[in-house]
Amino acid sequence: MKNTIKIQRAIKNLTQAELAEKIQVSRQTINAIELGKYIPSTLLALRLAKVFEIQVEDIFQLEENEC
Amino acid sequence: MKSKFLFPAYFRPVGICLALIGFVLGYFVLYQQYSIPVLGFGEPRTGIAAFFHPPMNLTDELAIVLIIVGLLFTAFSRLKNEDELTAHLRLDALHWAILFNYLLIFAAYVINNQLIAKKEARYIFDFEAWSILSDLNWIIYAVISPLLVFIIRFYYQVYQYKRDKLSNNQAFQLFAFPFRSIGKIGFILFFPVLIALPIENIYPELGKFLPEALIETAWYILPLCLFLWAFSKERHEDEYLKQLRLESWQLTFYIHYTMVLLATLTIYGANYVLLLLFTVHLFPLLFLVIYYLKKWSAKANSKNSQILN
Repeated sequence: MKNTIKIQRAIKNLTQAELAEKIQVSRQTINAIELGKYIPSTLLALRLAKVFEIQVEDIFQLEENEC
Repeated sequence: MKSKFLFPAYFRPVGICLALIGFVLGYFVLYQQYSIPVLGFGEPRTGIAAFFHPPMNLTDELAIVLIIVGLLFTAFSRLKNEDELTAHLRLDALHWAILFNYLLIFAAYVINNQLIAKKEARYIFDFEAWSILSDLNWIIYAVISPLLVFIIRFYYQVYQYKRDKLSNNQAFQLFAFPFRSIGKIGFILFFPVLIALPIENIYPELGKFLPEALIETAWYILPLCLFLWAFSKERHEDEYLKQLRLESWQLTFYIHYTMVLLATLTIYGANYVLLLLFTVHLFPLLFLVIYYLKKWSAKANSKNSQILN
């Protein structure tokens, strides 16, 4: 699964720490999600979408082999 | 995945202190034959009688209680920022802990069997041989090793996580096929033998139907089967089942160590050692019971909601 969190953060001008605070996880968790090392729950995905004011699909997309 | 059933964060330093005191006391009890005089009572005995009815002194019990309570507090207190990723790390560490414990048990058996073979003991339940060897210290290590390994693995991973160096890890699990089926079939075949064992003590004539070789085979094969069963994926393993696994393993640890603590305070001598052997040996059995109970109740709930819809 790929994600666009880094880009969305840049658009919203948020640091990892600020984003982490907004969705109530630690900064390290944001980092692990950004690097694709951890797949977040739906709850976190929805919270991320809310913060970025976009759809979840705009943040997370399946890769070719995962369809 | 969410972490549940955790102690508050300030239990950690308390736990570390308790465990350290326990370890120091335990070292003196095991290797320096030290005992706190105030905690002793009863007449000292010698020979076989000393093994079955040792002179009562509660120093070793105190050490075990301190260590287990201390390690439990250290292992299961809330992190400052507990989130779903740390819950994932917990499951991973719980798996590691049980895995390592099995390696330890098997190593102990290989070594013990060689010792027993040297003494020409008949079989593993030969207490006379054990009292000669009087080398059952390893069982105490087997009791606390799951907690210790959990703590080491979990806090190492948390350390890596804090440095953003976490590797892309999946909690260790075997494939559903063929491991799960092998584990289930082996368990169904050999578990009755182990149940028959205490009954045989009451009705010795049952012994005719239970050759020692069969008992011993069951004793070795069962933990392996339980391990395969508990550690293999379901045919449709998903995030929800992972969550159930985490909760079940955690509950297993709590219940297991509560039982060990109760046994430490109420049962003495050979019976205590035998009980520890059983609980350590069949650790994943408790997990499987809890896991399937949870699954079953979830299924019942989902049926109810289907009817309502």
